[in-house]
Amino acid sequence: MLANALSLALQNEGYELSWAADGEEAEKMIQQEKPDLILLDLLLPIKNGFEVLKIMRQNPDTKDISVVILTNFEQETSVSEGKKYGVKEYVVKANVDIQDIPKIVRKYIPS
Amino acid sequence: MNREFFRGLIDNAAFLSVMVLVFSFVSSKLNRDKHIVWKIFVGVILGMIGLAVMSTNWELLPGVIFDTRSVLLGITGLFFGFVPTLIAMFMTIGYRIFQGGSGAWMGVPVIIESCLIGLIWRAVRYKKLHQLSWLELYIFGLLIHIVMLLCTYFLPAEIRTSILNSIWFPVMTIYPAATLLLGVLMSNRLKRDILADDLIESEEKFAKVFNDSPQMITISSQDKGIFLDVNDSLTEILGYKKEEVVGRSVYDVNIWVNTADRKKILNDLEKGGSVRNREIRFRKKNGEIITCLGSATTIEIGGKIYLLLLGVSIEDRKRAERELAITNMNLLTEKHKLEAILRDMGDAVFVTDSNKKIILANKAMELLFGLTEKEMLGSEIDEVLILAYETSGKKPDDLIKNVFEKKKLVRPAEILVIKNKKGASVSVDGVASPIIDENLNLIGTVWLLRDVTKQRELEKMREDFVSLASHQLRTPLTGIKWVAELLSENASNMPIDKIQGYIKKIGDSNNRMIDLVGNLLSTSRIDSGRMPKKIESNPIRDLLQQAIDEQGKIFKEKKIKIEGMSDISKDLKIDADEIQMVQVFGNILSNAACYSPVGSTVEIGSKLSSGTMKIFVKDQGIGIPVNEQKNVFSKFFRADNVAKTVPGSGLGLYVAKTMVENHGGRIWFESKENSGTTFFVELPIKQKNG
Repeated sequence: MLANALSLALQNEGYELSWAADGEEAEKMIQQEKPDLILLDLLLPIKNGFEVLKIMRQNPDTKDISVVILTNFEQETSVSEGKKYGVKEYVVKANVDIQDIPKIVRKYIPS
Repeated sequence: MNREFFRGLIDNAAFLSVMVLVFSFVSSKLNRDKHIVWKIFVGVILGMIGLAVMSTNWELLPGVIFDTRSVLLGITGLFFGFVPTLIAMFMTIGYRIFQGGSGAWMGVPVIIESCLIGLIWRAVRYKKLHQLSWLELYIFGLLIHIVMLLCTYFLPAEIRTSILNSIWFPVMTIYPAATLLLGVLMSNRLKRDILADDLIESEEKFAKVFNDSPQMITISSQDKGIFLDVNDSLTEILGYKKEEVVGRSVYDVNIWVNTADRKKILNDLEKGGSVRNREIRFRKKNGEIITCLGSATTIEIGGKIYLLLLGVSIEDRKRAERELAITNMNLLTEKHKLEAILRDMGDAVFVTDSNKKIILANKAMELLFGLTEKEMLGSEIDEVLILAYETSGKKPDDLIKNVFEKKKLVRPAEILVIKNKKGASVSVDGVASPIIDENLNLIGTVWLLRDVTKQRELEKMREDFVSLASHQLRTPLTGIKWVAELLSENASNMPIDKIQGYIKKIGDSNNRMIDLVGNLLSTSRIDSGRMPKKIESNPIRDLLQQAIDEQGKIFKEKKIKIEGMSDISKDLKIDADEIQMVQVFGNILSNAACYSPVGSTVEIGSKLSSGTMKIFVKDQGIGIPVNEQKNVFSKFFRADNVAKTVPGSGLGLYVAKTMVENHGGRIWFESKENSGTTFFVELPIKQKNG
């Protein structure tokens, strides 16, 4: 449902979107599409967000893709882990309005 | 004439002997250390005896007289010493001169030489005077009288030779013999005196020892046990007066706790055995009993046999021994208590000596390290302490170093981990403290290790709860928030059915929140052990129907049919808490609906067996992957195949299981992936204390 609302909000702004339901799917999608920006949740089925991030950063083709963590999972350790992987921002979903998401995206995708 | 001369001399010698004998009897002993006045007195007496002897002389020629004054004076010099001899000498010289005659020329020198020889002999033989032999005394007599014969030289020349001729034989025959006789007399007398002195001295010594001895001494008659004497120590220690004891028998004076002890001592002594340091118990006058070490012997006094008993009180020693025994016992008890506490305490404890060798390890220690105490004793600490820091994996050598070298109490910087024999890793916290004596020397160390695995697990669970619950709670809330935002921005441009779709999403999220909060509350109650039941007899069909009604919306939406309810009799009742049971079945039905495809069927049924009722809920859903089935009832568990598509808290089945078990029942399931899951709940019909 959140993804649904998110897609709607971003499509309204004219961004092209792909949506993965679990970590494995996300990994494949990143390899194939090499997106400009990844909005990454952490509590993902099969492989969690950090596992996806780790593998992505090891691949020279994908290691420089901008990543924003967008999750409701919030722990000190997870925030610092995110920094370690060089994510642009750690955004807690509940703390932002849906209108703010396109603004965040805009910061990292130069139009 | 010779015969007369002989007889005269013998008479005179006998007279002398009698005089001296009488004197020696009337006088007190010949104490050689008497006062000067006594010495003068003795000298005067001896002088007078000399005069008496000289006045009963035998006259050889007119003016030439012979008597035994040489014998007297020689003996005086030898036995009476300087002052009496000098006095006797001057008295006899005076008298001889007074007697006059030509013989005085010889008489005076004879007196002097007798005295001199006596005194010189005395000076030489002073210490042996009481031991002079007959031979010596005879030689002494010979010497005096040879000199006496030589003194004839002082006589007028005309009579000198004839006198010498007539006297030499009688003189040399009788005078030395008389000297010998008198000397033996005096010597014996002296001997007796010395012995008497010694006796008195030893008697005094004995009395002193007897009374001053710290040992208790009794002398009692052998047969009747009459106390002849007891010493001061005895009376002081036992609290009697001397007159209360002496003269009375051991049977009257009740100092022997057991008079049979005394009899035994007497028997043993009779048999020739010795009695040394035997424990004897005496009773004080105040009734108190003391223990003594006694030694005994028999002594003869006046022909009668007495028992001499010496005893020394060992009461102090006994008391000290008793106190020591009590102290030791207390110490031992304390030690056992401490050991018992140490051995049975839940935390692992071990003790090392200063050489890092283990000298004690308790049961918990044995369990923690999987070694027996025997295996650990004597081992080096680092052989046994197979621990590693949780993150660095290093051995805790810093702990060993600090406690042994710095003699400081140390704690590990972080949790230590040990792999036990079963291969499970155990988290350990602890403390090591040095044992230091009064001189600040290290005598050992005590280590206490606590298994904190459970705490760690709880801590981890709490962390999981916080992170997951935050996520699970935030997600529906974020949904409501974002959809509401979208609607408020865009509703005016939206077709009505789309708006209704979003509103429905908000409602769904809200319902999820309600269920979630309900389950969280139940979990919190379960975790804190507060889940009171209100047991009532409820028809099982009503409980199930209530649960179906609560979850009705999702069934309706997904067009899932429920079958089997009409087959459950209205009369089937079970004892249960209504709210909890509706929650149990609600959670199971919610799962069935969530994980089943649209248009499928969920079958509900019940089966009665002896005392229990089994309820099942069978769906045609996606099933639970085999490798995850074991975790289904764990808190916060979500199976991989649903986590991505179906929202959920991971609490529903945990709560259901706990509530069923809280009713004395059990819950389980059978599942096949992609074909369906059946949950079974078995509950007792009657609650024991319901």
